[in-house]
Amino acid sequence: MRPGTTACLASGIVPAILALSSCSEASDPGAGPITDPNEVVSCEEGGIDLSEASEAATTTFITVTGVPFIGESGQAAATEEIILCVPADVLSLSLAFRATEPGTGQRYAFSTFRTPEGDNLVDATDENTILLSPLRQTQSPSLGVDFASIMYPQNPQTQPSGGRYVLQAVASEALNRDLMITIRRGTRQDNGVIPLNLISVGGAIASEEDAANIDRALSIANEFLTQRAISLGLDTAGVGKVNDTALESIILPSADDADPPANVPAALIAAEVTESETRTLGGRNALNLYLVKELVLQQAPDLGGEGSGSEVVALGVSMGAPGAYIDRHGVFLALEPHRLTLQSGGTVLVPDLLAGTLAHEISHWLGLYHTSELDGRFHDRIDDTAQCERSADNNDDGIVQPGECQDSDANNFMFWTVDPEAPVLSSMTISEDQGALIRLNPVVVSTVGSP
Amino acid sequence: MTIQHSFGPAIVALALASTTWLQGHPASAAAETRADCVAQPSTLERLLGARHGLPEHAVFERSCSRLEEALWQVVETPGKPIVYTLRALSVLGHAPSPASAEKLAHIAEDPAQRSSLRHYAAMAFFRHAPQDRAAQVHATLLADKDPALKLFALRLAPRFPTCAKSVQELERRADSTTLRKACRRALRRLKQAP
Repeated sequence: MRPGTTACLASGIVPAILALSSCSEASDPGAGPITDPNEVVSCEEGGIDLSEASEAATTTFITVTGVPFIGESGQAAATEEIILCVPADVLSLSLAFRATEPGTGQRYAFSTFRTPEGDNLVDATDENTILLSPLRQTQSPSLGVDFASIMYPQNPQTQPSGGRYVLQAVASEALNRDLMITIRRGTRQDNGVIPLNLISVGGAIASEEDAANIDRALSIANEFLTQRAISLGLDTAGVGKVNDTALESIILPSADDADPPANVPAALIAAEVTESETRTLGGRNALNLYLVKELVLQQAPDLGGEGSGSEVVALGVSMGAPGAYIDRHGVFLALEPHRLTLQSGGTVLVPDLLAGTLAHEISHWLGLYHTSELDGRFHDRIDDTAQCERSADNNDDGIVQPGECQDSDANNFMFWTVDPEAPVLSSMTISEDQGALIRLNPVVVSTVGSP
Repeated sequence: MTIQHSFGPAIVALALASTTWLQGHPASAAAETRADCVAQPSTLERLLGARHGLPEHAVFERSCSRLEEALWQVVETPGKPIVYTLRALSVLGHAPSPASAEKLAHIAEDPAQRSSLRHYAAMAFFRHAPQDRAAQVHATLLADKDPALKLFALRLAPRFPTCAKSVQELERRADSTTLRKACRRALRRLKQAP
């Protein structure tokens, strides 16, 4: 520690962020180890042998660079079938495609995921069947970060088996992409810790009071998850800061915006981070939690045209469900909408509200979906969470509101919105299987044994 | 390509609690609005809260006569989460009344207001702003020290061709990579503008 930087002694994580500008030097967050694709051993011609490429009883990150998507110029393209030879002790798999250069506005999705038993868990015949297929997947062009991801299993009652998995993906253009494979091997653990990096952006954290309230929110979220034997790695969380104040306000561009603004998530991910000297950032096996001032969701292409654009206040956003294990990938939390205006004219961050957003978005990143989506058509794949069906839409407005889902999942923390009668995390529920699925995620580590 | 879809950002939308601050204002315009719009699918509460991501302009196609007034009360009443204020401002962008447009302009220009309020007021204002007034507000935001407002003004640059010099100057002085990129994008779009 440098002399005269007593603020660095602050015990909480967020006070450490607040003190960062006086406590540390700029540094590259560093890239995690990337397996050389040349080292990947084939189990059959053209296959990827994960038994050889991964280690037993641990999580291994493998990057296969330059997977070709083949098609006519300007037309949709697809990969050939990719074969993964998976060892018998597999616990979970997470797969993601991403563009070599992020933010190019391309779209892609997995179109096949066939298990050793021969079940194809992705039906790519149309948009709805992809969403309804047992293996739902994320595709996030709207975040300005091109990637598609899937996690298997999506129900902790499913035990993945070893053997030959076949996957295929499609994209809007014929280009090469990187395939990120994360495999977790070993035995199931009855507890888990989520490794975290906390990255504050510009002046989003405006005072020591803010810092204390964010610490409180983290504690509330941690306490909530603890009932399912999951904890946020608060004691070991890395701390960093993005100094570029122009990234305090992040735009989530509409999917069809061909020329997105400069302050999009991809820019934040690529921005230089000043790392704490005492709490260095973890690599790709940590969830990055970005604390920004505001998140503006665009529902139409940018405001260049006459009267175009429609913006929505977003409280938080996960970059995927699951997230991709790319360095700096993670979850964004907007602090400004979680403030309460005071009669005196000031504002204060509300820890309970913040904690709800935090737990919800982190859980998306770890692979949980909404128990019921807004229209009641789509649900998670977990057995012990209730579902609010379209038939519950008593007023026929096309939306299943919390008041219409009181007998099902309105109070689950992964319901699509918050019950207005019980907006704080402490009044919400998390099911046993939701907890079990989070604990299966490749980046969640066990406090006992490994991983 | 039929398989394209956007999972979309997984966003938590806080519902506006009808039992919280709104009830704290008996006989308020908000309460009247609730009665006024009781038969409508888009009540004020759901509009501001749970109906994240839905088209706000639909509200103004309905006959909730006091909605605009109620929204201003949301904006001007302290003691509630800012998310509701911001959503109210966003919805007001679809209000046809010139008085509302001018009020939005005032908030957008007022350096004493919180940056987020100014940002959302500006976004709302520019949806229906008359060109002369819009140019004034745009120039103010472009010169503002707040980065979010500056970036917003840069996004709007193609609508105001006379701002090209200011954008060039901003790019020259920019101390942020993001700001510089935004300036270059604005200049590129200014050149493409009809």
